[in-house]
Amino acid sequence: MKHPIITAMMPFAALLSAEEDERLKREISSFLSRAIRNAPWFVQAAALILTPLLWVFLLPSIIIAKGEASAFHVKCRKTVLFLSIWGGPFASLIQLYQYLCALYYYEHPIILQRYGLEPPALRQERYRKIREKMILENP
Amino acid sequence: MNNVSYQIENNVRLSCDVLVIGSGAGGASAAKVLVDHGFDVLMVEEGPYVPAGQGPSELHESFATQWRNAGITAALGKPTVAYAEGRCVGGGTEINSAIIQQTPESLLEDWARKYKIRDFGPQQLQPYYDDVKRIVNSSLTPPPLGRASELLREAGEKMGWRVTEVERGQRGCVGANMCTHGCPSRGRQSMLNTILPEALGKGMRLISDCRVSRLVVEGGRVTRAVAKAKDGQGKHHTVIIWPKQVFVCAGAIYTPHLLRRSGIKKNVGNTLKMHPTVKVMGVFPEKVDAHLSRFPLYAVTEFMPNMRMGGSLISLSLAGIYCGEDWSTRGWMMDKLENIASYYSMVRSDGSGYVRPVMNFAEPLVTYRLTKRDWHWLTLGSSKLAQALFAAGATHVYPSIQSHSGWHDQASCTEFLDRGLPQSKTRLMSVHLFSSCPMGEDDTWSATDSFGNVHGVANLTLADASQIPEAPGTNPQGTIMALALRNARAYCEKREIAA
Repeated sequence: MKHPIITAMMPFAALLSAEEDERLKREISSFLSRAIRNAPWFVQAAALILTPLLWVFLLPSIIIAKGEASAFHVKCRKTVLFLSIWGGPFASLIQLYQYLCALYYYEHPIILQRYGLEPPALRQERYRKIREKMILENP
Repeated sequence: MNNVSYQIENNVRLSCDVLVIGSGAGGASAAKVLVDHGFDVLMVEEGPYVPAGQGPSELHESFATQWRNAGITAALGKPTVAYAEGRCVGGGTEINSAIIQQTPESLLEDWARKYKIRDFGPQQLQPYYDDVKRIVNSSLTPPPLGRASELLREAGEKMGWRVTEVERGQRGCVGANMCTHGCPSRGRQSMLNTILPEALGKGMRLISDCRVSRLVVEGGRVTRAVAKAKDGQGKHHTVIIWPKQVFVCAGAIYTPHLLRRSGIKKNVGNTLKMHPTVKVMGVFPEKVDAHLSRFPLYAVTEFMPNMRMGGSLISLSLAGIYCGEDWSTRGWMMDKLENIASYYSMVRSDGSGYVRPVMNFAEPLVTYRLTKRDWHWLTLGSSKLAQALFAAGATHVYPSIQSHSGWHDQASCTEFLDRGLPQSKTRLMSVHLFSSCPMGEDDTWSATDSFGNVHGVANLTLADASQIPEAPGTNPQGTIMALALRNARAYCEKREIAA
């Protein structure tokens, strides 16, 4: 029942084992901290003030779910959806967290592998070679 | 070397003929003219040097290295508009799609008249546009363009609209679909692939990871620029630069930010404009494979200059960002990646915003207020685009509106036409910002004269998007480069006459 904020932003991770899920959420958590540190001061201020409040809103989900992972997930997501409907800075912060979590999650090698997609570094290299060959043939 | 031309390890003092602040489309173009005229040019860039073709393989890493504030930047207002800017050597040209378009002639004529800008009509600007096109090899992208492109063309044609294939600054683009993280194949003709290596070869000096915090103005002249440069260990060192002339080319946000921090405030940062954009995602019954091919290279130009429709990159992570707006109604699309494509409606806004430095903070406060007209076009744009995608065979279309359950047929996507898009829930973004330091001969409202020379400061010139008088309704890279070439040439001619 760790990382309720990240859980609330993510799809239910049927693709992952419990350990993989935990590891990914840890990594997303550290990515979120890094990204917020690089954000403008007003975003940092909003995150500093509103994140603990978001945590408080998500607290009942932990209690209601009683240790059941999928119930916890559903509760967290519903809470976030409810909060984001009202607009304002709270919704903007949720939007930012949703965006960052999805970005990191779907670029993670484990997830790319589950979707059968080529690792981006290999893709880059493949296209470099294609163009090099093209330039050699048509300088 | 860490900082390209120097290894900054201590506080340093430098001098030059011309200091160019910023290395994007504006800065690089101005530097090219200045170097070609024999000036000793020193360019400083706040962001890091990422060699051409060696950008990170993942978008979130690219955000951290090549994008301003790790991609988290916003103009506050109702709603907040997320905007994106490059922050690396080459600036925005290292992370954009390199679409090169000219501002419509009617707008240029209108601006010349309305803002009293000298030598600014379509005929006067055409030679500069021609130079830009030559520099970046503006051309149609080699086929195949991909199904997502064809779908947009079919969608527009079925609605009876004008559809145009867009030219890009490219040379042998191989369609890696990674424009946002520094093109790995070097097919995109960004500043790092064109002007900058040539200018460095001709003796220009470049300091990367170096942010100018203020210009010191004494006796109506900039006497020195105070900057902080980061060394390889992340330590900051003070760099004082003594220039004879300064070109500020830091973009529509950071140019007014720097000017205001330096005490130059007259008509600076009061008239920011942008192209607010609303995205929609279409789901098609056929295999589109947009994530494996180029971003859509057609544009619906029927409604220009008020609105333009186009297509954007899609990848697993970008699809995840869209679906993350509401997993309960959109999550199913993550298993349909090969069937989805992303499109947008971009509006020529007549709203306006402010750029204001805030004491002790490095980042400015940016605000933006959209007008009723902007909302009208955004509503019309998203609705019409969705209708067109249905005409092309889409089964579902999802607008970028929080908790929206999507449209499932042509009739349903007219739901907002009467009442307008829900302002607090619509997620707007912009990658085009302009007009924060407008040019013109009337100094009651303009920040500079017709050639970018800042009123009241003898040796300070602007050459970037902040100079474009209003939102052009087209991709601005071509216009930014044309204006920068023009302003730099005007400076060189003035110097030659003086000599």
